[in-house]
Amino acid sequence: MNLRAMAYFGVVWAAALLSVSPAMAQSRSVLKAFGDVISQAAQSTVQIRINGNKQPSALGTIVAADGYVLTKASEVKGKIECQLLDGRRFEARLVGLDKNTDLAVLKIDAQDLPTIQWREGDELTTGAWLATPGFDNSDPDKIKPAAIATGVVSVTARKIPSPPAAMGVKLEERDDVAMVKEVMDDSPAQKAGVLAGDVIRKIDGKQIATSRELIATVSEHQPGDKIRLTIEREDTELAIEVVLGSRMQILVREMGAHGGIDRADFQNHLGGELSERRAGFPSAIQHDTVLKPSDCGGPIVDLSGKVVGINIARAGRVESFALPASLVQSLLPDLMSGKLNPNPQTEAVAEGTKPVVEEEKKVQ
Amino acid sequence: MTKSWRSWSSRFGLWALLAAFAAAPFSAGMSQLSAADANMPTAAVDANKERLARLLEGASPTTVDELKLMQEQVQRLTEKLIACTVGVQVGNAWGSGVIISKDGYVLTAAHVAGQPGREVRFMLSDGRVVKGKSLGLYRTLDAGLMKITDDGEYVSAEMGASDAVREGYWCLATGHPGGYQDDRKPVLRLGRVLVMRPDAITTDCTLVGGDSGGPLFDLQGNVIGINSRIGAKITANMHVPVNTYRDHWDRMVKAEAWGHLDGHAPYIGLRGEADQTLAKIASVVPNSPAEKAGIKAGDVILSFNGRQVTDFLSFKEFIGEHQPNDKVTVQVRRGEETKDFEVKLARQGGNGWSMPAPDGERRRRK
Repeated sequence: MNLRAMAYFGVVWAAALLSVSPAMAQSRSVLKAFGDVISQAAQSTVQIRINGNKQPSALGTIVAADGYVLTKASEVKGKIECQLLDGRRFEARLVGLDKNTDLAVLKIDAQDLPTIQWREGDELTTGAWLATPGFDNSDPDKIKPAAIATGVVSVTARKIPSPPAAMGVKLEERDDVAMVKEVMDDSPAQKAGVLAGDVIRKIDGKQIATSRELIATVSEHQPGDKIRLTIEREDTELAIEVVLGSRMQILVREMGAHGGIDRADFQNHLGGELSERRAGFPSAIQHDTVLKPSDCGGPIVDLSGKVVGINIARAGRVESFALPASLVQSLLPDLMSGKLNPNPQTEAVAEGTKPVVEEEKKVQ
Repeated sequence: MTKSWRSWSSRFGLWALLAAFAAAPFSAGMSQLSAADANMPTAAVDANKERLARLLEGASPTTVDELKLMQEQVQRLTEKLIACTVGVQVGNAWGSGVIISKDGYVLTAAHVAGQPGREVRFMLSDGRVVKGKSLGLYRTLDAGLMKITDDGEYVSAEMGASDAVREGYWCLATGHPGGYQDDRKPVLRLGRVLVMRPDAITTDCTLVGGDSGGPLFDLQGNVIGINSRIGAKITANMHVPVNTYRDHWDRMVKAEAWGHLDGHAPYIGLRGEADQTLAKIASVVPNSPAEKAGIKAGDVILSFNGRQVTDFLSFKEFIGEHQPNDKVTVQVRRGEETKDFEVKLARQGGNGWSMPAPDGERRRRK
């Protein structure tokens, strides 16, 4: 694929488009028209910062007046701080986590907060207009509510399957042990420091006796999940954490291919960054709002200002996903009560828990 | 199959309709509006019609009421726009298309079809799969025509007039981004026309591989363009203007293929001497196909694949009929000698406009 030609192509257009930006669907004047649409939901939106970073990592949604905030779990790893529209900042702790939807509930020490109004009744149809409320931080002393971006329903809610995950190792063809034969170039395993000859004994504490078990355990995971390997290397035992990647991308890289898959991946990244966790949702509304990964976790509203879902992923050049209101509402009691408990062993961390490996025969 | 555009279109009354469109662009939408606003006083309905007409022509909505008017208009159209959008499979490549006649003519992108006369599988939006073939290709603008050959009456969209489209107009794109997926309908996107040129429409309706060949509609539901290619920016989404198909309808229906996709023009690497009545070579580009074959400055081209060459222009025209990688024979006179050279044509590159597009995926996602 002719990446250089494509990039150049983009540069040429960038200059041409500057002069006509007022006409864009996302122009400032159009976003302003959405001011009334988002004004109420913005009151119940928070911005979330991690480990004292200046830039927010995610948005959050106030779901109970006594300080419960919903957000995107995989974007809030570390020390969490929530900032309200009125400027107040609160430290937050993680009280609930659902890996399946990538939702987390945080608790802040605040009372009488404005909670969101869910849309009730009829289903959203394709072509319905949507707006994502957020904060205008241009004046740090006076944060203002703003429509970050708008869009339409591209596809009504459906299951978004997860692509297979992998860490990028080839295994010895032995049935008595899971031993690494080769670590693939530029793979998650290589980045984490896995070496040929390593014997993988455990994944997240679970015993791994054979290659088959290793593969089965990894395949329960999604790309973006972090797994902890217990590795035997010569006479020492090591713990290595690996963030799994997409099996398809790892294979493509290994083959040095520049064919359709690689190109599709490249094209999807044109025009902006994507969420690390962007697939594997039980149900999601696909919409064409151009979000940043850090715009996820907050509400998305219809033209009446009612919340139709929670933005959960920037998934591609043409697609963002929102978890439908009905799905989110059904999970809230368990997320808030602590029944969907974040892994008590990992400290306030929302992340996946398993490993990845391919069978050699699949990696020809 | 060889019917002219004019006779074809009059059969469906389309020509007349398009003329009406140009004269009163928003009449169709307006008549539908009155049904939705049945309870409103006539004066208010008229005011809404006027407002909507202004908005569709590119005015920015400033109130929630105006946003709702536009949403209603989009939702009125959505079902039909999705119904006439198809997934297209040619060999291993996936793309999109739009049915524009009941008997199954399908507009698509030239780079999706590849060649005329190829077998095509069409995935209709209701899940049915029907067969057909590719017809004409105007590669330079990336316009391609196909025809469903299985008998049936198909839901179709009408072709609008892209010369009536102005910058700022609102528009909708559909297609199968990432390739056809049987658990997903065609994917809708809303945007506006950012740059309008006779050879390409640029919008902020986001596109990606697999969308190629899918339709761009105005907010009356008429096809105004066909998805073609993207740039790095999220606002660089290019579409073939629909008038391209109308202007070249006869050739396309006859399954002619002509022109070259951006960056795919054939290249030999020769420059001719100016003001010559014979095709004398002024210079040979280093490392070009011509140099590799052994052609030298000063040679006079006598024939190309056995066809007589009278001047450099006719030589260029002959080359233009070929594709990169074609092998051609060039006969030259060098001094007293006549020599034949076999040349493998290369690809014209480096003009900065050479991304022929995100094309159909080479896979089918689950």
